Amino acid sequence: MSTIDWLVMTGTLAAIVIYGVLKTRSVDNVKSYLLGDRDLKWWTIGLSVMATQASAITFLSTPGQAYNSGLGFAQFYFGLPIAMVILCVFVLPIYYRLQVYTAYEYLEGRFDVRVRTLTALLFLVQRGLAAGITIYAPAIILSSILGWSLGWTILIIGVVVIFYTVMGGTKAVSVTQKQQMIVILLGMVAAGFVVVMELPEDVGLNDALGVAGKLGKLEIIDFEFDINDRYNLWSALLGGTFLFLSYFGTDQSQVQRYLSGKSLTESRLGLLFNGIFKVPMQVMILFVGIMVFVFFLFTPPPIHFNTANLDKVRASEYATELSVLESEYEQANTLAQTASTALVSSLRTENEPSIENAQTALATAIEARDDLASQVDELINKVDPEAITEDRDYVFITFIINYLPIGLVGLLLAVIFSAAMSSTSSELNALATTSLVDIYRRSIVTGKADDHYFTASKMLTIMWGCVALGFAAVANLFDNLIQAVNIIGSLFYGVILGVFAVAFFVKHVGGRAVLIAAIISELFVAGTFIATSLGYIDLAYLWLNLIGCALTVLLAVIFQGTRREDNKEVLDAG
Amino acid sequence: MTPQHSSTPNDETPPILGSWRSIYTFVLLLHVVLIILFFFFSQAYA
Repeated sequence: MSTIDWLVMTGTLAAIVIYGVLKTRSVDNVKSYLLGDRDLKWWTIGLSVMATQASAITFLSTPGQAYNSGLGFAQFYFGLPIAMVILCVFVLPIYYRLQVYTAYEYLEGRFDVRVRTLTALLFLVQRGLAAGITIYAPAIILSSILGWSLGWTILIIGVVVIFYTVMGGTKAVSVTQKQQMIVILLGMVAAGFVVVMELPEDVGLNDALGVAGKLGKLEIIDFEFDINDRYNLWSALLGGTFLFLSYFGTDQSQVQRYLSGKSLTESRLGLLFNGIFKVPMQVMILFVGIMVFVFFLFTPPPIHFNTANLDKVRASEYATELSVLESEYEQANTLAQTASTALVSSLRTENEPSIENAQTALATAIEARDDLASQVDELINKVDPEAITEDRDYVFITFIINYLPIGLVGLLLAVIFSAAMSSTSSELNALATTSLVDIYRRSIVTGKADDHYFTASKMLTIMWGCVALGFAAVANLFDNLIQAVNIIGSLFYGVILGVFAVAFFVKHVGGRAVLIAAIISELFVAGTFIATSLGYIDLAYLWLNLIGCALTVLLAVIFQGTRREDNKEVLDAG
Repeated sequence: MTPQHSSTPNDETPPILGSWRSIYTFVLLLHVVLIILFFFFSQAYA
């Protein structure tokens, strides 16, 4: 990495952090620290909500997802605008009317302290685990590609985030997220522009789209209903809506963002801003991945994108086999390049038989490339059976490091660090707030002065930062990090959403019924997940959200009914 | 939990389109239009 790139990266990140710390110097009480004086405008809330959801792995992994599977992943977000509207109609007015610090605080007024504590604990467990992965996931990729020390990369991300989150609380999180999101969007637009410019001189954007389209990479909508498929229109609209309702409505890391709004109107507009721009933003990121895919049709890609894995094979007894595969891969790349050029020419002349021939030749060349890459994966696993051969997350960073101009490399690395820091800071802030408000101040140390809780908030932020760093240090035990985060979320979100759904919509159900329903539903969701993992049933994990929510509501209604019957019988007997 | 506000926050009117119902309808219709555009985009290059 050049000196200019280092200057751009560190300068951008330092400017954001210094700005955040300076803007929040006046924070000196619990309310200000946890709710940011409730003075944020809708655009800050909107960008902050988007930045919280978009972790570094979003910007590393999503282009790789498009590189492998096309634009279909965009469907995952189709339930989000619907969820935003539902939250604005039903949930935000209640939170604002009750002036709560956390989503779980509302549950005590509606049910009792046990339900509040249970949901707060479910949140702390799942978000505490996820915070470690949010730091670890980009650190492992950056350290692997750039040759940095993994431990130091984790430590630097973690310490910087802990520093400004502890200093300025929720306001520091929101104001830095606004700047981070601007850097992120500028960086991704610049990357998209450069990748098109890097295509061969005689290949334009329309040609690139034509080639990608003929290879099926531009198919966004899948109308086929398949319960095992995460990315079709129906699972997105049903399962996805439930997931986003739960995430944005009950996950404190998001709730805290819009509770900092100046008014209900500002918070609503912030969420609707997210509802309008999130899907186009994801499509833009995926589109960059598609362009990288087309770029690597005309420029030979590495046979495996994770260079650390290749280095292991080169240093082993399988080095010769790897060289042979790389030579064959070179030939397959030449064929792919020739077929791509032929396809571009055919598309321009609109000659159908010629298009079909070129399309078939290109598909065959890509298949040969994929086959050789699979053989390399096998070699990697022979050398290190524990190695992760999925290299999708390394595609975009490889392109950034090797093909972007000096200066832009630094900016894109700042994008990745910004994304890592923005989502982590929200998580730490939310974990500290929930620990303080729902557990510590509510049930452990009550009735102390504001100064005590202000100091406790800072201590809890540091504590959760250390927990996240500790978990990041052992996160290499998990095979697939993104999947791990999403599964952890799906295991808890459905039940939490179910509790909130009962609270909002089933007014006659009381605390005892919903508490028992939530515990049984959580056990059922965990059992279903275990059965799926062991192969007894086949179910995409997104559906766990729907199952957890529906079961909690159903059981709560049944238990409440049974309780009424019991009470009636006792009264009748009396 | 702190006491409830005396006025209901639902009374706030949005800065554009006159009512919240209109804004929600706009957001959802925009989403439907976007999905339709995605479909035609995919078809155009398929």
